[in-house]
Amino acid sequence: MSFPTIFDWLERLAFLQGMPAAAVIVAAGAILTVLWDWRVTIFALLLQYLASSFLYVEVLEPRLAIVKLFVGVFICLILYFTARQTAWGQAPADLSEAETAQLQEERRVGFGQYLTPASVPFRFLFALLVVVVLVSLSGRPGYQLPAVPPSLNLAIYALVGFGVVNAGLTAEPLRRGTGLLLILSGAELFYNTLEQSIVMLAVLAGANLMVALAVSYLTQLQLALPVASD
Amino acid sequence: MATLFAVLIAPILVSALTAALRRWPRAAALAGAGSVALLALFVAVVTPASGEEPLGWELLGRTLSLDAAIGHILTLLYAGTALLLLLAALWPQGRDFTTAAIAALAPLALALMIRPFVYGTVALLAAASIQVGVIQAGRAGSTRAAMHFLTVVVLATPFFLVSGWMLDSEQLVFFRTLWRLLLAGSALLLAGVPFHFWVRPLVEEAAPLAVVAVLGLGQLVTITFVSLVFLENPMFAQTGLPFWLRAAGLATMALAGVLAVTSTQAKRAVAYAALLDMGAVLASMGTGGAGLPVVLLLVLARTLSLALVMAGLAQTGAAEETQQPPAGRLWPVLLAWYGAMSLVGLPLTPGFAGRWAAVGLLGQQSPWFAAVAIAAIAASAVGVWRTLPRPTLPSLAELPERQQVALPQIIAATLLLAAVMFALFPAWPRSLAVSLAALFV
Repeated sequence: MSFPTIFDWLERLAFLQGMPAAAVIVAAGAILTVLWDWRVTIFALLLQYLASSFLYVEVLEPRLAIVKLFVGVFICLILYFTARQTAWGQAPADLSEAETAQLQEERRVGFGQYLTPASVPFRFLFALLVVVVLVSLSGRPGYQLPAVPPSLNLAIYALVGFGVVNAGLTAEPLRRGTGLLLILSGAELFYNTLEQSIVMLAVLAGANLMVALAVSYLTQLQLALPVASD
Repeated sequence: MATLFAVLIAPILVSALTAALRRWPRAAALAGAGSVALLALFVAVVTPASGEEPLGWELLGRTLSLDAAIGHILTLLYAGTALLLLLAALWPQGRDFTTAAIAALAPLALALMIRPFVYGTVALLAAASIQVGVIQAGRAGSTRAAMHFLTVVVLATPFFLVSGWMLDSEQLVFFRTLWRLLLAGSALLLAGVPFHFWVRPLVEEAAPLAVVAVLGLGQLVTITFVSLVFLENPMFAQTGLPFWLRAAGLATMALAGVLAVTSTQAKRAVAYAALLDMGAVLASMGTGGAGLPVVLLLVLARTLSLALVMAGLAQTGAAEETQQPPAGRLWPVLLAWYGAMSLVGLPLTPGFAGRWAAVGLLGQQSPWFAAVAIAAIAASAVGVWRTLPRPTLPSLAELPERQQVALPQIIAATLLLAAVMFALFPAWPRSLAVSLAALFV
């Protein structure tokens, strides 16, 4: 029995290439915008990197496309460990009253027996609006990016669009950082479609990891209490 | 190859050494200052003279070159960083300041040396990821300044990536898109309106010397990078790029003036004065080749002015609100005042020569441009005047009989003396900027 190669996997998952992968990216972007639970954020980001790697197969050698997936997995691991170390953004149980006062919880509204952050309905409608704009714009001839197939066109618009939305909605490092990583993914996808340079692929992979480390560093410091760290 | 090692690898090694000394911040800063000063000396020695063949290397099929212009800019960057680290040894700036400030030197140097410039864009992004550590410096709490800074650099990256591809592959069919992409990228990196949102949090939140490192020395590299892109592609002079750079610069200056005059806090007024200077740089870049010496003069004066004002404000304790400094502490207030006035560009300050030259250049384009610039300068001066702490002389009864002069006071006096010398003899910084700019042509 032989272990399946990258090419075997690609053949089995051929149904995910093209427009389905772009649709997964749009869905991941919408999830990132609406649901701010850190576990969901990291999962949606991983989903986005997986779908992007299927799109890279259309423009790059499959062996190079898998590098993009590995970089994405490493970024998600960096963010996962950061989230674990900072208790998924939750306040530690043993905080004093003075320390708790430093943390500002978002106001919650009730839907029947369920409580949800007050901004969720707004974010849901906003994400819906972005999806409508992305789908209608990317299908128009005047908004077609040069030398890019339609599925990649939609994916690039979705990555950059949802990236800007996520980066603009909050100043919280992990969520804004996720938005920045989406923007970089979109830019990379477009650039690698235009030019298949291995050096640039490696350089951009390094830059992505550095941005993820910077986001991780800032997340840790934002949630560290001044009293505890000084 | 030794030069390449010194420029790209040595800062990483020195940074690792200072990280090991992190428990002793003064020792780390001193070791870092000494190492970076040696690096500055080395680069000054190996930099080829004007007219000589530049040093060149191949790295992964890409070209790295060190010519006279880039060599001198790198020397200034290293020397400035060494001085900042020396000051950080006196006034520790935070756990990660020294390590990050030194590590950022490697990608900043790479950004200027590598061709095609699209790789320099990624190097600038890597540098920004490290400069996040300079801004935050291990401080717990708000990360707004560092996050905003990282955001603008990430946002600028796609613009430079795509325009770099268009230039390298000579896709002149997209020429109209090309200069617009470069305009957007430049406005993002150089804080043109409406991408100025990162400047105020930076001045308000970051450690004083981090502000100098990012808005002074970091911007020196960014401005050189953008100028090199424009100078190496003279066809941009025939497009709408210069006009829109001037427009963005003037809009930034005007907005900075309005925001400064309505400021109620010293640090905010200083942030808007720095924004005014950044607008002047953008506007001067839009005046073509004649603007380059002015741009360099402005950014060098800005670095000195920010060092004065941030050191002064940190010592007065006027970080958040306008308040009177403790009696007897005249030096910090003088530093802050002189630095802020220099940042605005008032006469008899080091910032005046550059500001006056920028207004002159804009006046050659249209008298209205000069009028807008002068109005913005006046508004900024009023804003700074209203918010900075007033110097108060201690009464004779409060004066101790014998006061020991401390090292920080000596350093402050030296800084102030250097600034006064630059203000009284503006020909020296001006001739430095002119000769530097001549190397680029």
